[in-house]
Amino acid sequence: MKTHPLTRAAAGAAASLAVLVPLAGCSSEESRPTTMPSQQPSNSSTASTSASESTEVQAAGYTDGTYTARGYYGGAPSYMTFTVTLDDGRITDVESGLMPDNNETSRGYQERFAAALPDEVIGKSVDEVEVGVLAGSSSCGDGFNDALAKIRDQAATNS
Amino acid sequence: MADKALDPGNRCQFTAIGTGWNIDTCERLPEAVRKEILGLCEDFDKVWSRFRADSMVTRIAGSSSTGQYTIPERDIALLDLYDKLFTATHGALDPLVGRDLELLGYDTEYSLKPDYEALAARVPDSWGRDAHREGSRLITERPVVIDVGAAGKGFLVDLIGRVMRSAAIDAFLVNGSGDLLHSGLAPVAVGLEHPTREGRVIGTVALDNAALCASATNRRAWGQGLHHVLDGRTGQPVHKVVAAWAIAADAATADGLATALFLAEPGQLEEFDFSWVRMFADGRVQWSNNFPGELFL
Repeated sequence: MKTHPLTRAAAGAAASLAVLVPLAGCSSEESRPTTMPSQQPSNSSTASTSASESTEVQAAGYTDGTYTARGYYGGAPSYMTFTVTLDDGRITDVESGLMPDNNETSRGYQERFAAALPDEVIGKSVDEVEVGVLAGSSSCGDGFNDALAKIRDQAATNS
Repeated sequence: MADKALDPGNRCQFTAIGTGWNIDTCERLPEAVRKEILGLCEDFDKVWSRFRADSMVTRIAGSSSTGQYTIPERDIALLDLYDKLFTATHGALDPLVGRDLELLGYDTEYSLKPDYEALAARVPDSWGRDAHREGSRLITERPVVIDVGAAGKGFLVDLIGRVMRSAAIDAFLVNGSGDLLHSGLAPVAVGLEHPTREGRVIGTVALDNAALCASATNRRAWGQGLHHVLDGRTGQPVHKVVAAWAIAADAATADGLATALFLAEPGQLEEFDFSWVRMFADGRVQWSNNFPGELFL
């Protein structure tokens, strides 16, 4: 699962953008998402393209580099900027940025995405970070987990 | 008292509502307070546990047709929260998923074996149709199985926090197996556990006089696609989101919202004052701009 075709990852990024749109409740009219190339490509950019176009092209056709696209929504219009880094035909990084002059209300509606490669979010080892307590599912030590452990044991014995 | 650090050496540990609890304080928790908390947990369990024969929800589930019940005054706020979450998620977060959980195998015997035949014929109960509530009065139209798994534990965390404060203990961390309520001058660093990679965290956040609750579908899963977070409209487990964390002023809200993030888009939950992080099945992570912590992505 280390390598993913670019098309799939790019489609994921585009889907993220689409998910954002209904969240922007600042306008009563229906939001119309559009993507267009950034006016100010980032330093290392070799090309600029829209996220939606990316999904229509074959993976092999991409040049490595950093691409930026901007998604517009709402009546103002508001926008979010996405920067995608390609390396060896794969998306290795996706960054999203907010409008610099964003107002408080709009900021509240926007969310951020980190579209790391699927299955590639590895986080950090608990030993690397100083935390007093963990929040997640491991701490459940209840009857359910006991039952599950028994089932695993049975499965291990039967096989 | 509140300027001292919480001392894990004074940790009060106990088991309640079927799971492990820790309470950290600066000074050792007085025995009377500990007893009051254990009594509270037992009482809460006796009302809301669908796993015990003598509980109110078991009584409701066993009623022949319609029934009328009185909810403890203490717990009205829990059902008020469920009302809000049910409406905000358009019925996806529903406390009447109990029967569906049972049929999927998450039953009182922990059979963990789905009853596929019954599931095929099943029409999920709806909190908006099959139950009516006004204040402490709950009327059920037919036998329904209430499951307060989404917000019940968080609500109990808050109730324990209230006991602590009324005993003039202002600095504490209540940890109901991952559902956290913090109070005091020194924030506590919390690691957001990676849902699938053991021993790893996807981020950290300083919890400062607030509650943080987490929900993940991977561990409490008992088969292919079978886990405990169900869409109330279909009665089926949901698969798009695999883990969610919510921070709010109180643990009931944080707990309920951590579940709601599996079932609804965050924009539907705007009426709640909270921050959040959630992880999708494809590995993407999404978080609110007001999330006060750090993520390692």
